[in-house]
Amino acid sequence: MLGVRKKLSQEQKLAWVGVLFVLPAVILFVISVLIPLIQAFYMSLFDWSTIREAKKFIFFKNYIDMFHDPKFIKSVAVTIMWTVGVVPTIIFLSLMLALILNMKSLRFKGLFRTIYFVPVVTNMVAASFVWRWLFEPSHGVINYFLSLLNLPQPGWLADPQWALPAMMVVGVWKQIGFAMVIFLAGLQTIPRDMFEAAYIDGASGLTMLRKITLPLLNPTIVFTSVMLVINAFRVFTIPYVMSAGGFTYGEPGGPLDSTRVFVIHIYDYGFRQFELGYASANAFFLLLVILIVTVLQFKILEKPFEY
Amino acid sequence: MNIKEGVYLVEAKRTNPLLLAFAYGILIVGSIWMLLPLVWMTSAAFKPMSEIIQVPPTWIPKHFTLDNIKQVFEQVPFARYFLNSIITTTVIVFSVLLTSTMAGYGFAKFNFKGKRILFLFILSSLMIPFQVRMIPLYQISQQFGIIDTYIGVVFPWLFDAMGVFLMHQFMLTIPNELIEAARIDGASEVRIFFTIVLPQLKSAISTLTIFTFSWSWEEFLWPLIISNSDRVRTLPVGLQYFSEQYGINIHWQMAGAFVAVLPVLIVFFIMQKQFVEGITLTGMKG
Amino acid sequence: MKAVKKFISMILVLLLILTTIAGCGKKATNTTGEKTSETTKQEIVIKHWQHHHEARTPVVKELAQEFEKSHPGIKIEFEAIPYDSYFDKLTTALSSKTAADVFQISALQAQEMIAGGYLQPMPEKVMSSAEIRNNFLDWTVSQAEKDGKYYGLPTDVQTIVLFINNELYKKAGFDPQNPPKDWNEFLTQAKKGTIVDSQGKMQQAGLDTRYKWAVYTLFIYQILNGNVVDLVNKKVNYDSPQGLEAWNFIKRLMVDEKVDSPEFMQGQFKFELGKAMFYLNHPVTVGRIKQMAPDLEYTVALPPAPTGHEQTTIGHNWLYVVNKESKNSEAAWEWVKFLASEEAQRKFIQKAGDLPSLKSLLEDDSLFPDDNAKVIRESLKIAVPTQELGENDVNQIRDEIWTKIVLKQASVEDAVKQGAAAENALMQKKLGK
Repeated sequence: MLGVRKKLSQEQKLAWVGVLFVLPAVILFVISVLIPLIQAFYMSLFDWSTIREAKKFIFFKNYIDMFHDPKFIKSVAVTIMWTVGVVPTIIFLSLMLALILNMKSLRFKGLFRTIYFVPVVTNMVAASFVWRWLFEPSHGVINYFLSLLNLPQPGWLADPQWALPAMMVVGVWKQIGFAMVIFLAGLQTIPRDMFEAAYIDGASGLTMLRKITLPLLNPTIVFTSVMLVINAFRVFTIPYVMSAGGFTYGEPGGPLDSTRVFVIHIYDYGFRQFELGYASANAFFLLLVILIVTVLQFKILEKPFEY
Repeated sequence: MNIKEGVYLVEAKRTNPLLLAFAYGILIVGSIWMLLPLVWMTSAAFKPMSEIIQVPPTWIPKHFTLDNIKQVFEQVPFARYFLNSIITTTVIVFSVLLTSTMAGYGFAKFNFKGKRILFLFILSSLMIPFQVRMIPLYQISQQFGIIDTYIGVVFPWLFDAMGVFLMHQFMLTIPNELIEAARIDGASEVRIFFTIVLPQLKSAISTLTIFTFSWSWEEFLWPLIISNSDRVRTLPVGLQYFSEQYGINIHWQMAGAFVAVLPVLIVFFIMQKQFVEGITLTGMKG
Repeated sequence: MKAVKKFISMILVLLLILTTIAGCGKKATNTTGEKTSETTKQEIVIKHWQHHHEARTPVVKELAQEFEKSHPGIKIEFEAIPYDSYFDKLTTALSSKTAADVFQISALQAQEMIAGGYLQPMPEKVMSSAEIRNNFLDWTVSQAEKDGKYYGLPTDVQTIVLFINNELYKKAGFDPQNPPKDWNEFLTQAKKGTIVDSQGKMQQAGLDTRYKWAVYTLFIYQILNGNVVDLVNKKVNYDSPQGLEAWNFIKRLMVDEKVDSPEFMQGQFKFELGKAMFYLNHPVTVGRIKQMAPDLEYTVALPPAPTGHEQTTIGHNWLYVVNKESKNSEAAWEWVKFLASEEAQRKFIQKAGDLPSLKSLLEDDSLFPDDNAKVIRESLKIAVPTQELGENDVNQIRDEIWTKIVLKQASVEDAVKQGAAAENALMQKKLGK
């Protein structure tokens, strides 16, 4: 009897310790995220413009209107295309990079790691300027090389079909370093004696990759995948700056809205057209979608492993 | 067999030279792709505007000039903004590290009711674009009277769900036996956290430091809104001044961006060396 | 042990920093007396926000100092905000009632903001409505008026003019002293100024359409003699048969004669780089060209008019306005009046390349020293105001009409009718209440 009771309070005690550890983050979360979110939700129930008349309560009308808005539907499609194109590419490339940069006999590791991290910290306006002329259809470097190879030279940012792919290249460029660094850190946490043992057992490189590296990297892969997808749904700066360099000279959504990712859609309504209530409703839709997708990712990707 | 010579991954007795050459090839081609904008930005920082807009572009400035950098410092109190950025970024990095490691630990290694839901809740803070939270956050700041103060600039960023998530994932890789052994030995929870758990996560902590540093260094929208004077304004806000109504003063923007990116690169270079060495020196793991 | 020490010290450092900041923080809130003037008992503080411009900002600072000297007891707290995020900050602050006393808005936003209760009118004793009407160019203040009162004074005055690259124009066989006077002439000349190589790739554009807002807005205002927006019936007129003429002209320019291609030097500065013969843009471009292409020789001309119409151009400006919540209205309005005064405008013109909105200044030849400047002066006189209700939302609709016509080769009538319907709906929403 006494033994059982003792065990329970040990568990309870540990539970409380756990709570205490997460407390600081939770408190900050409540103040800086939860409360603003609740207020934002409140705003979404109003026809609220920051420039026009005072607000009017319209219950869920914003949400209903949303689904009838052709720009909404287009934004969803564009965002999905972006995500599907960018995330797997980054994961594949950065995993490969991390593996290469972890090779024993490779020199200049530090240098290469820094180089691949540069895009992550490069100021996005500066970078977008460069990318815009790299992709410039008449004189840009990319079309120049395509012409040398006698391939067709698309109109890139001027062409509704090619604007998004051009931006996706930049999206990959920007985040490879991020994923690579995470994978590298993950690789470092794999204890070496695992490989020792496998090597002694005669395992080949590829087998080790499959049976040891990837499973042990699973938490890192989950993290990277979830983060990249969240980032993909939230992408803003690249399409924003590349489509026009701001809104003055160009359309925020690119030619025929072909690069109108969802956050640009939200920002456009909220801060360029000053329809904050409607924009908030759209934002909550985004939140819901990301939440669902994330939960799905956890379910599918997460594989607990035995040590 | 010498542990230091231990095999990492896809290698056999000696590295296949072909594989190595292939690896170098990929790395170099990729490097060019990665560096192109930075190189151009650096070269643009030292060119007059008329040369920057030239098509086809020049990589080595034909009319090298230091004017851009000089003018940037004249127009905008760069030194002050720099200092402000250092202060705010440092505070944010520390706070994020602390809250993320603690929370990641709590979520990964403990069990309490509502853990999963709470974790998901916290993660959800990543799923809403900042602009939507911006106005309510500003109103909260106003009520606390922290507009145009350092606290105002840092307060929305003191905790980072991504940090919690990252730490959580890495904490999962720490064997429970390690922790339980220490408990049985009678160590306090705090002691365990600092002496057993954290040292296992050097690479994760370095990683989080670098990320937090680099994005909080770049953040401009919130500091722009919350600051009303030069007193607490940060560097990226300063850079925004060069985008104007009828066009971008690209020469100043490039010069400013060049100056702004240097500290981050330096920090990264230092930190990434550290976490590599951190591992190889400790040698054994697990 | 080492690890514990390291982390404890980190925490201590963090706490130290936080407390210092908290200390600084408190001090900051004490000295930035917002609207509660606390520095001295009598001192009034006027907060002024405007979007940053490298030449205008120093001028405003200088004017603030002058104003403070001539109005002891009033202090101007000036903040320049980066343009791209100007409205983010403004609207955020407006919704929590912490916006500045004096700020800028585009004239096209004035009516909405007046109706929204954010602005207050100029008190008669500072400046009477009659005085405003008499002194300022009519089109620069028309958007700021409601029920006989004026809610702002003009700044950042711009029109649309035609820039001509002298060398390319001469090469095409024309004389810069003889710019095109009507649309047909313009089209023919632009076509001649367009050069395409043997593979069909454009080498030179006849007209740089980078700033397409300028092109389509100019044409529809010209063809409709300024009556594009019908506030009474809450609709637009550019889908009428007359209005369609303008859009059809655009089709002829861009699709039939192809005087410019969106893929030619996309996103680059065609005219500034000497790759385009014509350019429709604001006079402020003069300053840009000086920086980007100091050696470029060009002529400024009035835009060509549709056959049978008088020459007109469109005018657009911003307004300095006063926050309804301001506790120091009179002082704020005195400051605004000063900013739009003759003395201030001279400074803006000379140091920032701006244009005057006071009729009196138009007659001062010293402000318009060369031929190009004289043409710009002329454009100020013949300008009609753009009257849209809103900017970004309206521009998006019209940009789409353009894109449909130019990129998608859609039928002009269909594209225009769709756009007009959307814009009408927008107007009804804004005026409906």
